[in-house]
Amino acid sequence: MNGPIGAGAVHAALACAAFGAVCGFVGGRRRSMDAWRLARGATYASFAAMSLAILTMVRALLTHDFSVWYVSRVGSLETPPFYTVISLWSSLEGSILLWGWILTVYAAALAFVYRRRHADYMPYTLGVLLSVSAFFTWLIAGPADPFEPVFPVPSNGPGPNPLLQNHPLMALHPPMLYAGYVGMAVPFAIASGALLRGRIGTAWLRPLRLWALIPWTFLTVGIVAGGWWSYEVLGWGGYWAWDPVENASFLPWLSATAFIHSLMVQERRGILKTWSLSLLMVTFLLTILGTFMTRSGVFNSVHSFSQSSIGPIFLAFLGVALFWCAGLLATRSELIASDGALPGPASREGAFLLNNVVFLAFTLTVLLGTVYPLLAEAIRGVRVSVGLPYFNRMGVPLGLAVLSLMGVGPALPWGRSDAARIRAQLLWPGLFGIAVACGCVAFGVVQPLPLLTFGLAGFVTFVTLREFWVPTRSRMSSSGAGALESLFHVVSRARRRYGGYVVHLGVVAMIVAITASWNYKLKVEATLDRGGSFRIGDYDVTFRDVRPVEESHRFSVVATLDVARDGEPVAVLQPRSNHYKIMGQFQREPIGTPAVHSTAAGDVYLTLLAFEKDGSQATIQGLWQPLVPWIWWSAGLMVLGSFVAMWPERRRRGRARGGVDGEAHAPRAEPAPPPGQAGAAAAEAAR
Amino acid sequence: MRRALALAALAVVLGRSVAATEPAATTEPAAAIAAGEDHPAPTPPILLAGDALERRTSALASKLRCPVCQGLSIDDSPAPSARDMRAVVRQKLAEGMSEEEITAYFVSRYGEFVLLQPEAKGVNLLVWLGPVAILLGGVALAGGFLRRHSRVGRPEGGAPRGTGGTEGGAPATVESDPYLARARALLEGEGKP
Amino acid sequence: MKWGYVVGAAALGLPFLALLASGFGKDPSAIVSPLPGHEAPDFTLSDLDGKAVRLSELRGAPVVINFWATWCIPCRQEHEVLARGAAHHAADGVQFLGVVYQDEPESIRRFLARSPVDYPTLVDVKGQTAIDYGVTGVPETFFVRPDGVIDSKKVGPLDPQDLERRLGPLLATGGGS
Repeated sequence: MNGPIGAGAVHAALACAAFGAVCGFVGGRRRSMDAWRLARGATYASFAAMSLAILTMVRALLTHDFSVWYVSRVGSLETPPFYTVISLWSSLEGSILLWGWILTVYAAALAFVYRRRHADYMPYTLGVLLSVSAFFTWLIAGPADPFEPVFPVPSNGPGPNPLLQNHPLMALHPPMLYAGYVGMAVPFAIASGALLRGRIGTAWLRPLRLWALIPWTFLTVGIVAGGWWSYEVLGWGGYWAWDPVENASFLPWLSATAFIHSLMVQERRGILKTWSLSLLMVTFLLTILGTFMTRSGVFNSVHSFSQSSIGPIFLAFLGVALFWCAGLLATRSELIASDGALPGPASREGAFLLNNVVFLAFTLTVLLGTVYPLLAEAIRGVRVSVGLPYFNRMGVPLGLAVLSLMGVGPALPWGRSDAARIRAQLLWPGLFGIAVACGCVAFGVVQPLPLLTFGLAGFVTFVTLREFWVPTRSRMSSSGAGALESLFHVVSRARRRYGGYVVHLGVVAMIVAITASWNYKLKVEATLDRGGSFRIGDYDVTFRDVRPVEESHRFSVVATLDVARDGEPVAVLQPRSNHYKIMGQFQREPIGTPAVHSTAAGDVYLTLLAFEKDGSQATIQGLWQPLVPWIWWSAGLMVLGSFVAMWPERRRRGRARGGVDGEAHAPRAEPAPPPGQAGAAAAEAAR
Repeated sequence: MRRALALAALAVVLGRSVAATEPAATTEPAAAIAAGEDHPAPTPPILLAGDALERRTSALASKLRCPVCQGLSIDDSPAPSARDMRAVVRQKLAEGMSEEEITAYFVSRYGEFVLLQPEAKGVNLLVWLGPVAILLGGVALAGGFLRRHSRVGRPEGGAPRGTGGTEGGAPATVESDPYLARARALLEGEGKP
Repeated sequence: MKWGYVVGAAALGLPFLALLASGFGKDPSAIVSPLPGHEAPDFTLSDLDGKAVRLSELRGAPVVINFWATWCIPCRQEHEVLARGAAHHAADGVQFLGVVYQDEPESIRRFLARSPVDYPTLVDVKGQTAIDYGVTGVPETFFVRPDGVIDSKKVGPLDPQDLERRLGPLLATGGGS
């Protein structure tokens, strides 16, 4: 029964989404509250139907209902329940089902949160979002139908892709990434709605920012979790290989980051409006491109799903979305004309502008490198690779530029200021950065690039912490409160700004950790007899034995090694190679699982490369990976920062209700002035 | 134990068609299993990354793509084929071949695909000079934008000193919330020594 | 109204979409070998009994070099095609060579006992020959003309028609000499 229930639910969701989209557009155009109510109702219904569909699929997976096509593709009787559930996103159709469901979650959340606010443009917004949702639901209902019946019903299935059942991080990485990808449709829809409505005040900027930060945070977590997964599973000791699909997730992150920054200038200055909106639209287009890259079979990647026929459909959708964006910008250009001024290059605005240039250049560079193999084949007919050395060479200078700007930007005051003041602002941080670099030299860091990175990191950290410290100190002296209390007061008064600074600190820590792990990695490959050992960094690794282990879904060869530091045993590591069972037979190719001993200073990372059948000998690759755990921790800091920035400012809203957010603009309270006037009026109001 | 290991040795591959879509370490036959007596590596038992030869091998190998992996270099990849290729690099370096000659050897066997970064010549210059052009173009655009908007801005933007020069530098903000704007202005004021 | 946005989107976007579309129907992991048209790299490899075969000594006859392994399922099906092809073309002087890649002598012996072939089966112990030929997986088959130049390379299992089609040019030049 799972098949028909699921398919029925998907079709119901499709109908609801399509109906809701129409209602949204009608409600926006006719300014009809009834239509707006219907659109919201349809959104909830679509969410409910998709939830039923996804639960049905989970049930089908757990009950091994092989009459459902998707289960017959990724299910198996041997797979443990945990991996059976997460195999929901281990293949194309299931992942699109998850995708579609997340989109309805966002739509329902949006409809609920703004059921009484921003009602002048929200119907349009919901209309746009539901249109996107209808497209994905249609994919699930038709071209990528996971519920298709299978006949005759097989008795067992192959199980999920072995790589995806090798590590529990697979439970985190794809859903986070999808939540980030899908979520970018929301700010896109908000912007589209506001533009369609033709009333551009500043009220829509706040929801826009919030709903851009939410997917940005998910995307950050998804990307880092992906890096962590690849570190824990692929066994080469790296976390980022500039693989096309990794790039596909990085691209919208870059452009979304640029957007979040340019939006701040727009809010402050009333300029860069078209630019911000373009960045937002580019971000949305890049998420669709990323979906295409992952699922079309056109790009060669670890993470891509097997070739499928839905590539052209995504390409068509990408084209439609592109012209939708261009058309919107073209027809509404008067609304988003700049009405502010920039003070000059040596200002925070100038730094933001440069930040945008660097981020956009980064985005385009990664995009160019990723699609260049296609271009080379089209022009020269020769297949080339664009891989890690290229992206590192291009990315390092751009990353250093981003790092510098994170220090220079916050140090520069908003608006015009004189050179003496700028010098004063930069003097101490600059000296501190130089001191850090000198300290690094004392510790033996001599290569120019790491030295520059660490020095800049010191500079940025100083600037950022000063932004916390100076107001905290004045608060302490003015109110007599303690340091923590004052800090809390300061941060809670400007959460967005300080949230941003916390994110910056996370980025700095991540850049430092990445630099250290790239440049100071140690590598040993050793073929050891029992009791034999090798030394890596400060650690001695001794080979104990290698043994087979059998489980229901896999067969593993496990090596056991003792890790000691200064003669003191610190860990027993068991790198293994796993052979997964597919259709009752063990796969010949092993999936290695490295073993990691993690400390704050770095990781000892062991991979089993080869072994003697009698268990007497093993070839082990040992890596010393300095500071790698800091990469995961700094992602936590980034998430914390964006939570601080997103946290709703309740008290304030209560006090200033009506005036804030332009929420008082009830949809029918006043007729809309023609677009041109609206923009002027808004700008007027802003002054 | 012997039985179980034999089981692994008997485990069967799905074959080439599937292997093509399989990821990095798995595309390969398990030399782990075949390793040992019939797969003697021409390499010393412990390869230290610090050795001069090992460093050169690693530097060159990190520019060559492991053909059976997904975008990894033969230096990074733990796959058996990558180890074999690394051994070839090491051997040819030890024989005194130059890095260019070894690179040319791999290109002549695997095609340009084996180079992890395209050679900077011909059409490939696009991918090398493109980013530079993008960055320069971006800076030029931003410069033009700045010039245009500061010029426009001066007369209508009010006293330039007023925006930046006042303590706190509260700018002409587009903030719709006057309370927030005031709070921010205060904070900015506190923020400056 | 600024139609520039639409024009810009069309000017930049459409070629980009076309570029993406150009990737359809191609296997991104397939590599075009640069070897056809070049001289076949020479090798000396031994069979299971230690008898050495040197490729350059076979000059003058068309040679079919098949890289395979016992653990590869497509290779097993292809094995029969090759066995029959070798028997059929023995009179034409076509020399078949099997090169076993990343495998164990034990399992090769077992396999050959079950389905024997009349041509030499050589063991590529260090994988050196496979690298010389740019092999990325098995099965891969090289067709070498009598003058020692590689005529074509087949990635994946051969079927009888494909084998005949690829042997054609080899026999034509072979007949001429």
